[in-house]
Amino acid sequence: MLFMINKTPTQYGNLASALRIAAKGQPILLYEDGVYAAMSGAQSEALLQAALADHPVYALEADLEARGLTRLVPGVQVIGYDGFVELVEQHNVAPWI
Amino acid sequence: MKKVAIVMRKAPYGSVYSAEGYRSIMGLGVFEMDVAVAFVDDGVYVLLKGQNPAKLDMKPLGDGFPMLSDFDVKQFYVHAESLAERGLTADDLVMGVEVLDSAGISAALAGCDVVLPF
Amino acid sequence: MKIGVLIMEGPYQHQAVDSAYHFAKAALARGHEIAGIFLYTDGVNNANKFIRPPGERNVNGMLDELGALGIPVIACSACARFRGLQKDMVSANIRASGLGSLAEFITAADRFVTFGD
Repeated sequence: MLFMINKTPTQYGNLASALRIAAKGQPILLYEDGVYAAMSGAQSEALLQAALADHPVYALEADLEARGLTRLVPGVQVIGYDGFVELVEQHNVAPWI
Repeated sequence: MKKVAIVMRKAPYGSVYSAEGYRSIMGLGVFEMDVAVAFVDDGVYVLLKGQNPAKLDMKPLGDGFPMLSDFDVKQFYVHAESLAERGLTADDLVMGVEVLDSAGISAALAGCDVVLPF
Repeated sequence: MKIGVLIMEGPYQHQAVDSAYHFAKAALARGHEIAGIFLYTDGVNNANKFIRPPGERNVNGMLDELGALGIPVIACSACARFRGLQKDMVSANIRASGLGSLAEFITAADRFVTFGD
């Protein structure tokens, strides 16, 4: 199951909620406003570190670039829409919108 | 047969999502599809007893769920932590449901082919 | 692989339709088939052929382009009624139909992705 997160972690509980439900090893995709969770130095970094300890975490490049996000938490894997599709090939999808 | 999980995470009335989730359960239930419904986070408010949106001129939502069994929808899961965080217990809900912890919800979703979020 | 798509938000208010479009294009480029795109709730407004944004991407045009490739793009007919979207307002390669189409896409698809708020 691929958990898809499209909200900022600083204002919304979507990421925290998904992390409660997602089983260890299930991947997390940050897209749209969800990519703000990948920012290093933000208050939400601890949440993302917790995510990285148990899950592969991906962030969509087009959404990172659009928002000017370059300082990312190490371990977050930046992927294009091509990589997004590849994840969907491998997993059923849980859009945690 | 495809297994579909309707995951309700939003509160009712303030936005259309839970009402549309309900409509999709009925809509999909009539087709050859195995539908389960999971209530997580604010979605648990959808099942709260005593809803009366008469003054809003809207249709009550919670009361409809017990009738979904007529559409052969019989799997209802509620996330235990979400209930507890809101000061609720299963007695506050309009129908008997299976209260599951996070691992239980996770397992229920893992058994489904499709997750539709509302 | 066959992939189904659901869009739950309308034009320009939210990124959902853009994400869905870019995802669908990437899926096609990887050799997948899009089983169908279902426009639900405010998502039906993306079907409106009178959308003419000055100097910006046309989200109706983007979906219509996918429809022109032979992908079924269906706007929920009940949602359309709720929003005053009439049949003659829907662009050439999008159709209005019921939840049966959504059920059909789910049944046909190996994977199903929802884009919304």
